[in-house]
Amino acid sequence: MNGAGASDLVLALVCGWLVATRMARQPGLGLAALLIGVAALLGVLRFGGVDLVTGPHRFASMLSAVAAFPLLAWALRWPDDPIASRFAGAARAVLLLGGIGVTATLTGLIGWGAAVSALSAGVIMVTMVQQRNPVGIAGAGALIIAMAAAAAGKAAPFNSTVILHLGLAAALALLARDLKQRSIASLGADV
Amino acid sequence: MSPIIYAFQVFLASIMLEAWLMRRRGLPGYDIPDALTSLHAGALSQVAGVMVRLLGFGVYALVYKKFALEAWPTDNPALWVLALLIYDHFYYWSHRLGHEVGLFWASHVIHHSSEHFNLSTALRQSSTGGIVPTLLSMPLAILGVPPMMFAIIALIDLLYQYWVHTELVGRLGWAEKIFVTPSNHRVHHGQNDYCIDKNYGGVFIIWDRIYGTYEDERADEKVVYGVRKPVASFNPLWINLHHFADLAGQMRRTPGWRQKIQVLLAPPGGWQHEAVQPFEPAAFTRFDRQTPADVKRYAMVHYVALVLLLAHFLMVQAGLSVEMRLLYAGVILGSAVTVGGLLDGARWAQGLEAARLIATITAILVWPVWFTLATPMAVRVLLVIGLGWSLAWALRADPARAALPAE
Repeated sequence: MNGAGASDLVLALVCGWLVATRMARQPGLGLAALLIGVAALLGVLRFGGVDLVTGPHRFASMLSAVAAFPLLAWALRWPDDPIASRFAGAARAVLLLGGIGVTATLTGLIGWGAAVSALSAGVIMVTMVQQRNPVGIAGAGALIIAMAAAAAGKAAPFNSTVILHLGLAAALALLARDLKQRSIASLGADV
Repeated sequence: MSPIIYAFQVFLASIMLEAWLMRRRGLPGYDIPDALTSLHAGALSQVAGVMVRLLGFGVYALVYKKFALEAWPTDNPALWVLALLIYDHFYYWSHRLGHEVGLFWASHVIHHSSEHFNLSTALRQSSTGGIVPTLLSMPLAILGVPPMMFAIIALIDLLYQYWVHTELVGRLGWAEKIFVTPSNHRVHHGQNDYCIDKNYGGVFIIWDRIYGTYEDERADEKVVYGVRKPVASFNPLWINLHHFADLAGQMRRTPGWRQKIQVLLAPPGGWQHEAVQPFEPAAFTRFDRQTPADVKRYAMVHYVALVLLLAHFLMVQAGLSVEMRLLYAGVILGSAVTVGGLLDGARWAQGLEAARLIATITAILVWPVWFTLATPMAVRVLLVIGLGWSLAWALRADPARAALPAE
């Protein structure tokens, strides 16, 4: 397995941990992690030499860009909204965002995924800055670095795919950790 | 040529056969304005399908071309059955979402707006849907089901659902456990308390059994068809759009943009599933405008003309420019809407129908080629005579004289 496959494995493990621990309580976050995790798992296979899954991996990555990142941003900014707090709400959002995003991308708007991902990262960063949350800001920063690496592509002097995967893994771990702490804090406030 | 053109002939013949059988058995199955409204909606959905559904199919084909695992061979019958099973599973979910998501219900509600249940109801299809089922079918494209195989399977699934819209067929024994049947589909169309959000399957009912949405038809409670908030109109355009208008009103009244989005995504009863009034089947009365008999006859004659126009449209549309395609679609839409308005007893419909007939007569007189169809002089003369007779009727008759006026 090459570096891209190994880094995708790290990302898949982080996503698996999020799905296992958050899907029931924070379905928006869990579903976003599931979409990214499926893409990462397919990436592990693809970069491990299973060429057959190249197409599905690219499709899952596109779906993550157009649907999972906006859902993640929504879940972090408005954690009590039905889209973040109900599985049915999150799934409907994925269907709509995914439907629009896939259609737009395939019918010529090839920058749609990058634009939606960048907007989502911006929303997450603004949210974390407004909350003056250092861990969250670090997570949003990692997300922005990952996306910048993806945008740089082959022009970058480093392996942009590895940076994308590891940046995403770090971002998800940090942002989810922060969300957990805030949830505990809000429970304490309720008590 | 679109297979729907052939299917439409079978549909119309079977509808007439069913109506005759029901009449012979003394069953109150068909109401002419209701059936014509369903048929108008079916015609419009085909016209809209040319414009909208092709987009969904195009996206499917692109996903297949760019991302498919490996193309499925089309010469293996077992793979066709497997593809149908997978498609039907996604159909179940898209149909379920059509009922459980406000925005999608706005599109699908038309199919449930008839308070009768017969073969014509099967054709009461939406002109605004079609993309969601295709989007949910994307996994089939990824798995490698070729677009043509997908199109044929989708058509088989759709055509299968036609025959289950009837009251003439009772329970079908073991088949009730596996397939969608007239009995379990009657439940799906019911507005009785026990029928709400049940039996979403397309070909196989097993999905409902797996996901817990199955309900048997009850012998002790007759199914009452339709929706709790009746559309009360025979206008095919309005029955397509009325729930979108309701949603727009709800969104206007709802403060905050995130809450407005929730209006679209939440179930029709809201996220909290606000309790609906208990339904009393015995107290239900069907919508009936008391449409005069001559208006019904007029509407039937013009429906036949509409079917001929629709068949011609579907045959030639691929060779028409976008502008001509839209113009032809407008001709068909205008015909369905004004005739629907006459059935509704709407005052505006009489003037609009006269204007439509005058415009059509003028077009036939000055335009020897009707959307690529060269019409001999004798045919044009006959058409002008027929339309002139219609115009005379439209100017003389008062469709609202006996009908309950449209609200």
